[in-house]
Amino acid sequence: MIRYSIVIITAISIFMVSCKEKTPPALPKLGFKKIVDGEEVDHFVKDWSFMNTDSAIVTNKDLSDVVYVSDFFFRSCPTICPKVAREMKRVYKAYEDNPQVKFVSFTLDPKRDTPQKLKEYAANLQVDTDKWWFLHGDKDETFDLTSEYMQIGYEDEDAPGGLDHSGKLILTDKEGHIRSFSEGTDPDETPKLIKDIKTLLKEYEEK
Amino acid sequence: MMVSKPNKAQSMKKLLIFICLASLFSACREKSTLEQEVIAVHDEVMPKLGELNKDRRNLQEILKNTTDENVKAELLQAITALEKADDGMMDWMADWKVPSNMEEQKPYLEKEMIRIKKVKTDMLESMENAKILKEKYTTK
Repeated sequence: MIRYSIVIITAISIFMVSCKEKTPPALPKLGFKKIVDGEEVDHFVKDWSFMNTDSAIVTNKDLSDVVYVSDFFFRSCPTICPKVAREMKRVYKAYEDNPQVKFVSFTLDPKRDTPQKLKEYAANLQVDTDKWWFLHGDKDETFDLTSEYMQIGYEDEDAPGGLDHSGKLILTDKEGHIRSFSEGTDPDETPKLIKDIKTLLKEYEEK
Repeated sequence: MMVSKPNKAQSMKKLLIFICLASLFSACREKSTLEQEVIAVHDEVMPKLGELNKDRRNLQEILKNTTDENVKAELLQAITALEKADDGMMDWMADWKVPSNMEEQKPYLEKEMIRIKKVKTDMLESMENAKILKEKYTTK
């Protein structure tokens, strides 16, 4: 009897250890460190304020209760953006019913992509603009923001194909840290991003 | 057992269908190649748009600290050229719509090839000029 108990306890221990090993590791906080009040802190996206498809002002603070996936695009972009939008929609579909996740697309062409035009674009994509925001703002501010979001540790801003066509989908947590990203032009990378969102949400459940 | 021979009319019909399909495919290939060539010019310079905007902002920064009227005019002219090139590319993309009508495709693509090449020249020249001016007027 004792021998059986030992075997069972050992089996359960092995099972628990192996289960523990399967838990994915926490996602890293990406980007270069920032200095705030003389102290080095993890990179976080600076405050921003843009106009949504209803011409209302929204800010990053409105996203402090959710994790969100963002990208930079413009409606008339003929080659890269349609591919990226397709992958963004795949991720959107995976979390369509989860209020903990939102999506944010910033236009790089505010002159042509007015809130009204972006509303039409969202309608064509058949997505809910409360869940997936299409934002319009000052062109230079948007370009500055691309550097904030694209700071993923290795990116060279001057690299060919740099900011405008990078087509990345970027996952940001509730505190504004960038936690993961995928190449929006590579459908094979999308499942990993979908999984990373789940891992990130789990982090908040455990808190 | 009798094997019915295909009659002449049937053979002709098949041959005609084959010729039609073959000419359709070759026409498609020719047009899609031209389309690819136009897009290739766009793809070549489009990634430079971020750099072009950076060049514009550099010159705008220098302009803020400039008092010499001649230099100001020179910088403004260069900034306008960068903005025009930027707009040229964005307008080109906004207008880009290959007609579905096969007959209209070739003239459209030929016209767009001239247009996108002009955008490319405008971008590269204005960027080169901006870099020269930046070097010239940056206080060391």
